[in-house]
Amino acid sequence: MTTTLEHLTPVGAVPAGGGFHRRLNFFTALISGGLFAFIAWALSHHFLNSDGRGFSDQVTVLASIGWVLGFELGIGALTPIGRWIIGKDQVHDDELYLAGKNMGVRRHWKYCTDHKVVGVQYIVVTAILLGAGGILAMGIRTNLMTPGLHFVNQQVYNSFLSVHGMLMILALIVAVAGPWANFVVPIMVGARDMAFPRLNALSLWTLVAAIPLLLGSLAIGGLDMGWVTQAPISEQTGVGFDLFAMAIVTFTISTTVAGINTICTVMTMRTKGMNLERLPIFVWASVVAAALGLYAFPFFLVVMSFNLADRMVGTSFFVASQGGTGWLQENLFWLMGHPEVYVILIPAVGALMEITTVFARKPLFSYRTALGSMVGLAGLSALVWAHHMFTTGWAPSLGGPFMVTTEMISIPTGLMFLVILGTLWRGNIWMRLPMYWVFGFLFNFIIGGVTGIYLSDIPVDNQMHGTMFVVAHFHYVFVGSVLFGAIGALCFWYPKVTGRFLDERLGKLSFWLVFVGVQVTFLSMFVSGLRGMPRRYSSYEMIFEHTNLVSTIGAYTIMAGMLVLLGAVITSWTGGEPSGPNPWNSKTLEWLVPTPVPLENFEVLPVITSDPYTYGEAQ
Amino acid sequence: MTVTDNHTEHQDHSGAHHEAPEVVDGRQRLAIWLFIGGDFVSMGALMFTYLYLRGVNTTNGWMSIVGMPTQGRTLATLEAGDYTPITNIESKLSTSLNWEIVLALVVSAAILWIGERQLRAARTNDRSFPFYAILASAVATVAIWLQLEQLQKVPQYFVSSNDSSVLMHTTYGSAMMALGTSVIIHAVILILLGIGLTIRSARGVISHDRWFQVRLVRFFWVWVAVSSVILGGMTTLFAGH
Repeated sequence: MTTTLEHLTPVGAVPAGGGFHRRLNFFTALISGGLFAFIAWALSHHFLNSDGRGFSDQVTVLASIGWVLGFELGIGALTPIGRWIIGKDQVHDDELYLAGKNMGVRRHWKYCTDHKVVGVQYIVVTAILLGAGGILAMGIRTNLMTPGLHFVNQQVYNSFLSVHGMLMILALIVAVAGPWANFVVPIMVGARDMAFPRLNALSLWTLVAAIPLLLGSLAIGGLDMGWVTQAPISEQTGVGFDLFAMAIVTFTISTTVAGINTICTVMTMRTKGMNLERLPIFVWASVVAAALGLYAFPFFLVVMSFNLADRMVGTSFFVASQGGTGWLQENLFWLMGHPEVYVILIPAVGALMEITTVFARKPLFSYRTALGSMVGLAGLSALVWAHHMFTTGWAPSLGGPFMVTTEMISIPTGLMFLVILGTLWRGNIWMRLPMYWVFGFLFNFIIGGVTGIYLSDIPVDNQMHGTMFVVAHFHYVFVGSVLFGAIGALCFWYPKVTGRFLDERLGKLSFWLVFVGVQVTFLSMFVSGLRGMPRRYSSYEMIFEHTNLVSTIGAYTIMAGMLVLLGAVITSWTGGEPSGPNPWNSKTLEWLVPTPVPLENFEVLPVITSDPYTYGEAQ
Repeated sequence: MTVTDNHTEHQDHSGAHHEAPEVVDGRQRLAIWLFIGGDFVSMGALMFTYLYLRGVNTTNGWMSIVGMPTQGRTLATLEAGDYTPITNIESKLSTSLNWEIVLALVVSAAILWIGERQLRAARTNDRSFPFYAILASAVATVAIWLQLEQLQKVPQYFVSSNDSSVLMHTTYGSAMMALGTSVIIHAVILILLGIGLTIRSARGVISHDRWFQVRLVRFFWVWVAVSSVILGGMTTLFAGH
């Protein structure tokens, strides 16, 4: 029986290679990032005209660029690029060192190219993002507990709203695709690593560099325009916006690199016999989400750059008085914003499909429908962005077509739902912890999905837009569905990462707290919205008092559930019940390799001779 | 999933595995095409911005602005009373300079492509490739220099805002600045790649039988040239309102 401790204990000599990397780790990255940020700050003060337009914005942006570059240099992420340019490619020993061979837990603090280490690092980063976003959510909900409470002042409340929204969006974008597209996808396709291990580590550490920028925006005055960075407010808010926007620019670079890596890994590194129809459905989900991200996130980069340019150098993209238009900002933002929902959702649903087939002991119901629904979702998601702008007055004649495309998106969404239901139907269901989250997802996703169809209708949207009803809808999708998928995936693959089960008792307690908390928080939020309570308000009329109090109680219940889950994850990591390499008797490749997974995954590459879901068939 | 074990690649049993250069090249080719795909979307966003701002022409601000050109004036002279708002100043940038930038990028791509063809056709170690690579980089540097010159000509205005004066650009100027900055960023990447190819080929890492990376760089270089032609065409055909 293998255990976590074996996984973490060096069993041989650390390779002699690595060169400059031997001196670098997370802490040198922090020091280097801080140093470069200071140098950029000092130089910009020296050379820029302090009376000029946007001086503070220019200084802030240059300092944040200094931070990111310094951090990447300090962790060693730019060293391979420099070595490529000077023609001194890394040798075999360097690669083994970078892969963290025989390095134990130290490798988790370094620029490590082993996809499994990167997967674990993503788990930690996701937890930090969710934790920080969750703390802000509790601040928001506490402020709304009773009317006129003013737990925080209005400026801070607005900043909390903006940063909470973006932290949670970033967290959910990486919550499934980050840890599991890295840890399990290469093994699932029979590869020894990701296609570009160094880029893989680069994408992780670029994401890490973005987090202090996003949190730092709170420390330098905050921002008050919501996560959608609505112009012209984004043009007028304080310098906190500059860090916020730079965090997103940095994040888009990270996601683009990660997406390319995932697609290349699946398309070019499959083992013999692993044809496209034998790919586990989670692999397809990762590929579709990565491809959709490649389409969506350049818009994010462009809209944030324009916002910064308007503030820094006097361009007028979004300044209506000088020829620009806020509609351009909205179009560019939502061209990213709606596909991004499916970049978040598809991997979570893919993971839940994977769980369902294992615990129902049945083949996936209609594999091609599952795949078609994901591709259909991705395709349609690029054609629905203007439903976020129904009430803005932009292109009223296009309202009808956008309403139709938005309603059409319920078809592939419904098919995904039916695939899970069909897989469960007459299955021999094994109710272990991951399955709780599947059933929780099914319940919540119905509510999130159906209310989305209401909102896609222009007459309803005209009434509901900007109310708490919309907030409740998308929280049912993001928290009730995606977060449930992410936690289900964590419970499912946790034994492969650690060699131990996640504590079932604490896990189930966590599930019930979060599940009940979601219903209490967001069902009452629907009621607030239906009664007309606007979103983003820091105080409200007495008529909304009871529903807000109930929502706040629900939010605290969710927080309690998440803390229990965190406790379960930490205590089980070293003290959980040993699981062995394949505790769920699953048939996909990641369960057929030893736990802990060896450095290059397979002693010899396997040859695949059947599809991955042959449960119930004679062997 | 039924699997059988099979040795499909040579292993030295020290944790290393070796892949044929063709396999690695195929993977890298897909990566570069995906990267170009993402870049294509970015270019699409820039084109959408340009055409959208030109189309809506909010407050007739596409090429003119209610303000005072900054040439010969400072904020201090404005505050002294020298401020008479004027409008309808056409601020179109030089079309010929635009096409000179495009030409420089196209020529640099052609030079690299010719260099690659020579390298691949050579039967022995051809030492001329570093020359082509550095020449292509030098021409890309010219494109940056021209682009910077163009950016300096984007007209800037003092406009009144909340009882003070601020510096602004027209939306045409803003869109051209975005396109110009994009060209500069791309050209800087090309130069770094070109320098890398030069050094690598001079050190023998790239040679007549190891030219895969040159082709990858050429894909991107040609894409940058093609995109500059598209953008040049757009800004020439759809400039004034």
